[in-house]
Amino acid sequence: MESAVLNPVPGLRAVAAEQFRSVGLALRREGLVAGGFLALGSLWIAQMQWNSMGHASFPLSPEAGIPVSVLALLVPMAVWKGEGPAARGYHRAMPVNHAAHAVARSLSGLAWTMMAVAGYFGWLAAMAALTGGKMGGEYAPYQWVVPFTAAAVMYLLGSALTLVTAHPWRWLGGGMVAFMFTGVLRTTDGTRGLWDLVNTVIEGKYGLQTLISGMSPGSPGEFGSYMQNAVASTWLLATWMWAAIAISLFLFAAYRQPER
Amino acid sequence: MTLPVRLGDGTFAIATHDLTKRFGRDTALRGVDLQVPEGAVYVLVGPNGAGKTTTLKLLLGLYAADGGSVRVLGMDPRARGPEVRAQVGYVPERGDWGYGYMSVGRLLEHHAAYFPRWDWPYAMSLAQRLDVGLDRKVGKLSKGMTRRVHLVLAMAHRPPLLLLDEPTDGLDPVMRDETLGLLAEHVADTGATVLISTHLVHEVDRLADHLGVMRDGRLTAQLPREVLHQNLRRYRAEVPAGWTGVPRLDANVVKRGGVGREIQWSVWGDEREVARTLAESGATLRDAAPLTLEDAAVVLLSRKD
Amino acid sequence: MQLAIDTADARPIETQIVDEVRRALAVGALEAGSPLPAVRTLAAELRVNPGAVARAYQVLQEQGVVEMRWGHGPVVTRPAGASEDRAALAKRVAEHALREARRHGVQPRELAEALRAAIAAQASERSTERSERPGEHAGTPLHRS
Repeated sequence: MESAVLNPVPGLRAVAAEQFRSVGLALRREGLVAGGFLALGSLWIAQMQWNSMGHASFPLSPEAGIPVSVLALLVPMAVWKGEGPAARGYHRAMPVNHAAHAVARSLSGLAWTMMAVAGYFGWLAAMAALTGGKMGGEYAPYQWVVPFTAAAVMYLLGSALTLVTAHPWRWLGGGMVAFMFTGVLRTTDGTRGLWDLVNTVIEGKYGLQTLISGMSPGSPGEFGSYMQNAVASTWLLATWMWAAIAISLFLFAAYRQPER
Repeated sequence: MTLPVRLGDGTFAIATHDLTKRFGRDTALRGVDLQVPEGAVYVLVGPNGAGKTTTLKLLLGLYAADGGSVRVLGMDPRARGPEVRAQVGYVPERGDWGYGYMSVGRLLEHHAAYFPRWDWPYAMSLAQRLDVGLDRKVGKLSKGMTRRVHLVLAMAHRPPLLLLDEPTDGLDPVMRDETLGLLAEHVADTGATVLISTHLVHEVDRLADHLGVMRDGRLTAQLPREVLHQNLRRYRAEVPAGWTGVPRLDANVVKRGGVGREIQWSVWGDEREVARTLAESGATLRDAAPLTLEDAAVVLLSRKD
Repeated sequence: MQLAIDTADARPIETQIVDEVRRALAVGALEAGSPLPAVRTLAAELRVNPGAVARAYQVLQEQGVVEMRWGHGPVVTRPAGASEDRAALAKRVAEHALREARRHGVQPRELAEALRAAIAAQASERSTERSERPGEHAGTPLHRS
């Protein structure tokens, strides 16, 4: 048999195309739920329009993308159907390199996520147009890219988590609880350095908030000064950094998936 | 006496050497030398937990070995995983295989995208013969139906190697029968090599031409069926009062039994020699019958080392 | 072609196939010129290893029972009811009976006696049945021991 002609492995394009289709199928239910929310939103805006006699003026703004970007962190769990590494036997038994296959599936989910974000903003634009709201001319052009880059980075971070553990929800939940208690770190001298670090990562100039909102924080000490300045260069650098971190973690996770 | 554990030299579709696998502190496989000749129908029999499923996963490159080597169709499944898996039709032990949210038909399409040699007319004919409906969602199928879907997935791309983990598990007798017929055809048409891991030997008796016995992570016997048939006999003999047994034969006795003064021993060895040894010891030989594959497997499995 | 292959029988599959083909030939179910199914077809029908079928056909060819014809597969060449087939069949039955006898501690002499008696008993039963046509077997059920 060593000398006989072997059955060929599938081409990369065929695999990518099939993963795109099957991930789309996998996300159908979540898509319907999202659609349901948009439908409800439409009804609410319609009601606003009615109450204000045609002058609801629902505005179109890139900041509406913030909650969606954060949600992108959770999409990988839907892509992998909540199955931990041990339950992905079928996926791993395909004649494709394990890491490449995981990347193909994850990137398919990313593609769908980007389409979802685009669809979401399409809906917002329609709502603004129909209610006579501002069409976002007052925002800098780069700010319209922010929801997409933020969602992509959050998606990749979520993917990294989902690829290595069977319980991503536990880690996320645990992380959030830990974060809520970081305020405690501020109280003692010894741990203040740690609190500074956490604070910088989240709210610093190139922190997570910058990535997600596109805005850099104002000078420290100004009450309510956060999220004030739309500085393209700061945002670009923050996005670059976070993208590098997310991609590295993602690729590491894809190569080091646990076997059982 | 040692039962044969090596098949000699030749071209093997599957050849492992001193294969070892550990999971934490538990050693699942200890130095396994599995040899499956090309075109053979090899039945790997053993109790649950013996290491059969682990062996199959190592053959597919789904696990990394902790020691020893694995060669499937001449290739290392870890180094050339995609190529190895492209030659294999795999029926897994676990039921949740594929995507529950897809319909059966959609799953077939999905699988077909990964195997360029997928034969749609053949797939449809397999589905029809195994009574597999294309419309139901994979997640909602019964155990038997799921197994039949697995069989279609495994065979439709005409792989040269079939790795089947409990292929008839959960199937009703009619479907079991149909599955065996399909496997016989597949082997005849493609000259494929088949490795069936099962603890139900009876079902695959007629197809098998090699037997491997696995216990506690070790291959305690591995031989072609005709060698088994020639050398393992169940001897029935009447022994006189005060008979002390035959120390010379003890090492070859695989299983002892009997009623009163009649002994019934399964003994490994040349029939004429064993018969002569028994006769010389004063026993009156009544019968020296070969065993069916199933009985042989039971005897070899229950052997106390 | 449905042959009776028994997994409870410890004889190798190919031996059973050879014996069954010769049995069919001996009793006239097959005759000279009858084609046998292709290896693949018979293997699938019987749910057996195709290698065993191939070996069985090989043996049958060596015994002069079949001939492998190009484009036609195996064809029976021996006339039905040939004496060597009937003799082989009878021999198989006799050897089986002798093995059974030995297992139960019955001496060959005792076996021969019992056979004679059984044949006589069956013959007398048959002669009391007026509606029997020659050539048909009596309706006495054959018990499997």
